[in-house]
Amino acid sequence: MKRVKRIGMFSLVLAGLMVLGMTSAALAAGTTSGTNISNTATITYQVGTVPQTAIESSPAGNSTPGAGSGTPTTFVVDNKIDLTVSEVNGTYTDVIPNAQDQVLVFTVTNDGNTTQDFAVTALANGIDPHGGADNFDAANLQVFVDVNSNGTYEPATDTRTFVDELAEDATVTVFVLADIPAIQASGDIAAYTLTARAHDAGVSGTLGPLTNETAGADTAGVDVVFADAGGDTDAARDASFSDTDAFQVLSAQLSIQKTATVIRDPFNLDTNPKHIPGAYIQYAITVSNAATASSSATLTTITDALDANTAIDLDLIDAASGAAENAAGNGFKVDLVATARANQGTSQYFTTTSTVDGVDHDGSASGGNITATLASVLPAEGIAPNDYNAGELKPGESVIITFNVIIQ
Amino acid sequence: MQRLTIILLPLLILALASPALALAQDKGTIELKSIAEVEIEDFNSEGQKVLKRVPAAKVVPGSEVIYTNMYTNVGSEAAAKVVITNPIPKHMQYLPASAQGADMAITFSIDGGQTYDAPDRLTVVQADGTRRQATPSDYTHIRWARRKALDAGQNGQVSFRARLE
Repeated sequence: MKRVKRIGMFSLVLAGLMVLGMTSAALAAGTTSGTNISNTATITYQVGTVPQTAIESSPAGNSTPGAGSGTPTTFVVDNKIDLTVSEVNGTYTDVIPNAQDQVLVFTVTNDGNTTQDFAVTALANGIDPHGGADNFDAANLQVFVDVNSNGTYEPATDTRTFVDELAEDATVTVFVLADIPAIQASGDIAAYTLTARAHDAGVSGTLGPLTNETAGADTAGVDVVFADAGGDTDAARDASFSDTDAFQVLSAQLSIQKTATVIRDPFNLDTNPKHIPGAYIQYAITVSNAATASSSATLTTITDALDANTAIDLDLIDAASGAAENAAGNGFKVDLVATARANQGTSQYFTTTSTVDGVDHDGSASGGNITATLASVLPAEGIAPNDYNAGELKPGESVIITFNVIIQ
Repeated sequence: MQRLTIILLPLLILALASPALALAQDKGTIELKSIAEVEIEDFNSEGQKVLKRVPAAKVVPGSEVIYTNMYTNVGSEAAAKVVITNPIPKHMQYLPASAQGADMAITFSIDGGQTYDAPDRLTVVQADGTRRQATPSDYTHIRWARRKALDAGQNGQVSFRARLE
């Protein structure tokens, strides 16, 4: 009696395991190719009132009673080739002119039921998937696989040019690299399509032979059936899939303007002053990043060579009073326009010849060079989203450097 | 008394039979044949598209397979209480309402063949303790119970469809 109970318990556990097994086997890619799918039916009956030994089925018919007397009806699961290629960020990848090894990120997923290799190739596409107009091709196109699966292109690590031994249901990241020509302007677009094509797996580190569909009648072994959908530039059921992404060039649109105004002469003072020797000319250098620019500019230096017939005004005099506008020895003034910087709306003054601050004259008695170091004039500051890098001029912002010279 | 006669009769035949006949007596009364087929699109002589069944061989995940169990009474006596049991093959998922069989009461098991019931009476305990109606993916076995006796020489068939996961 005890023994019967135990058997009952055992089969209950077995049934539980079977249910569990069924759940975990429900992979998206499906049952692994080569799996034997086996089926046996059992019939029980009575003759008169006497129960007879159960009879198992066989493909050709079986009437021998008893467990194991039947033969399972089986078939082998064939190799379903299915894959998806998908660009990752769903929008443009922003680049700047003259940037090398810019990266478009794609994923390749093995939706089939067999481990496969995939050849990956990139081609320029005239159609921008994000709705704009493709108008240029980048240079030096290359394709690399994310070998260490961290989603980031690393030149030293990610050197493989094909997808190796990708298990069913597995996804790998693939990078398309290109160099952006220096001549490209803001708003230019270059679209690229990545196509993956199934190859036979089997040898790690080697791209196996092209996977071919089994032609004609079914064979007893594992046949190959192409079951993939059509991608951007490939047909359905061709063991390939393709998707397209695009580079979009973003750049600053800088303009520089220099104005000269006579502000004071020794005789007329500030009333209708004339360009006579001893007169003060006020120069204003305005550097602007257009409001329509798509990225910030990072300014480094602005230099200006003064005419040899002029001398720097060491004190930046006020036109009306003739005295230093700010303080004696402060010959440069910097004003910010439309920024979110702390000094917006407040003029900053810089020493004329000391090199410790951001704007300097070289000290020549006449002529000479002015150098503005923008990392000092426009320091890193603020907190996001109103934060600035050193020298950063965002779209729509301007910086004005003002100084005087005296006509000799 | 009747039971005794039935048992006695084969014994009597066995005693009289030659060795070859004795071997035949090892056979049961019913022959059970199980086939697996898939449907493919074909064209008939009038050029119309028709579905043709061919033996299952080229099967990829997502394909539908038709399992048919054919039973024949190859004995000389009627068989009663004929019951056919078919576990849903591993990696296959039963397709709703696909089990068929004339004169058959069809029930399903969701516990590995321990118990059987009609689909609307099968429930599954969920993680939170509540019960939900069992779905075809929960089914582990199908059982066909024939409502009437199977006379000598008589045959029938039952079938179901399942999809390869």
